[in-house]
Amino acid sequence: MHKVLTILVALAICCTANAAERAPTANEELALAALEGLMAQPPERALPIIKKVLAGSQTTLVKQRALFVLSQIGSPEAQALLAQASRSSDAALRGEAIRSIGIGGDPKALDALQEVYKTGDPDVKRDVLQAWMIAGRKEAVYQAALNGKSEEETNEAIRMLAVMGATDELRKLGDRPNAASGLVDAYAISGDLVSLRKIAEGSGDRSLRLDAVRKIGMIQGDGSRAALRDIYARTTDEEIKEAALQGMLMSGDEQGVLTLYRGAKTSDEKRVLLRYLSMMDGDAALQAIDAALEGKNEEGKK
Amino acid sequence: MISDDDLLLYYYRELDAAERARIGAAISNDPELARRLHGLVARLDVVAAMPEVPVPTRTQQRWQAALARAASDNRVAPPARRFFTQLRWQAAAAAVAVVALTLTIQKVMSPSSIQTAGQTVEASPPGATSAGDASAYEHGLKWHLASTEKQLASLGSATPEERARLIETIIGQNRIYALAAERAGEPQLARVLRAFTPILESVADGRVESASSVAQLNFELRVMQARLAADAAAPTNTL
Repeated sequence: MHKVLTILVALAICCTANAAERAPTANEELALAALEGLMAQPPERALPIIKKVLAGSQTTLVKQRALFVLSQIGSPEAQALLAQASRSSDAALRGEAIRSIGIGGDPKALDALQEVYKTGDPDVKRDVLQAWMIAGRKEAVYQAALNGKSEEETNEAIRMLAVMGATDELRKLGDRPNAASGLVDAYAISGDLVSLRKIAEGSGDRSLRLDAVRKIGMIQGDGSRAALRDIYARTTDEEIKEAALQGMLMSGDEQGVLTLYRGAKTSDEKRVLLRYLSMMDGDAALQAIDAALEGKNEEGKK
Repeated sequence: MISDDDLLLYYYRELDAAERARIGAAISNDPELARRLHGLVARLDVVAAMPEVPVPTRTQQRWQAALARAASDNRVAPPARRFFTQLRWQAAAAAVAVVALTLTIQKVMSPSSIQTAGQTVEASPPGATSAGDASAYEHGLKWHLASTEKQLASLGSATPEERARLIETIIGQNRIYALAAERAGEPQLARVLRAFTPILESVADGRVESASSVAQLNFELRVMQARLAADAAAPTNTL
């Protein structure tokens, strides 16, 4: 054990600038190997060494990794050290400490992040949201979205809810008046077709509705393809039609566009649909383009 | 004659420049060959994307035995055999990881029973994972961590497309293993696996210097591997 400590102390390096944004040096690699070795030690023997590393002259990079190792120790002392580092003035250390609190999963430490979130700048807030995501704290992220001070802050929390697959929380946010713009992306990421359709076919902000129609194309599956065909067929609004086509382009629904092309009533509509088919570049598209150039219908009749 | 092995070596960029150029040219000139390569890659993608396929008991047992053998096999392959060059190993590791993933997820995440070869086998009640299940889960997780480490090592030599696909695959596997870890009563492991995702995403987006992020992930992977090894050796005495 003494050897581990000796190696870690001996490898102190004076230059710590941009430690988080570069690969470890050879000396740091050795220190990290020593930290890895701590995993084979009981907590009561590993903890004092980690404390010395954090308080000593090691580089920020080594200290960051030490914080991760600390996250693997469930003791109150380890949690206290992480909480202390989460208020550090060193942004790199602070960020890693907040992340490590998420990994550690201690309920008290996670609750304490509420205060860090409230008083933190956007970077700190993002770190805290990430820690809650890692710990699976949907309610905390939901509250952050609900009480966001700006649209950007709200959307950041919404994006994290999407990453967490928090469908219920996202739907609750969607039920509130003036749905945040980030919800469309969140529904698309979490594959919530029902909620996207609700926005697309609702009476809310027009640009949000158009975006929702387009983003349906991000959801894989027959349901989203059918929804886009249906939206296209039922609307007379040219912008909504265009957004539906963009969604179909996104999802690669060549057959869907081809079906619409075959059923198009006007040459203007046919021309728009043919343009989308040509962008899709598939066999069916080529067939339709060929037929159009030949002045034939799909069955080859003039 | 270009074999499937050659195509996979081409796909994983494990050929010298001349051989790569030869196969690349052949693929450009021969649509059938291009389709074969596409088919091979698609098969790997499909297997990786759909882990919840019912697996017959006998096959599961064979996989378990193979995984146990692989985990305990420390022999180094003879240098003359190209099969065990680094990227080949990755391909093999990734394939075994997919198998392990399939087996693990089925074992760990099955809510009440699993359908196997025409008969229903009752699984253990929630929270009472059997020794065999735990072993399959641990093997699967160890393979996941080891293969992720290998996959990360290959990021430097990958094309942007390969890189994006590789990261996407790792994120997907990570997500599934995190779920499996939750179900296996290992929330701490689940949290670590979830913590990898934002870093991988930032590497994929090019938001951070990738060498540092990959080094961080490698460190954390090794710590987790050390932790698993320590837990297996002396569960009550170590971290």
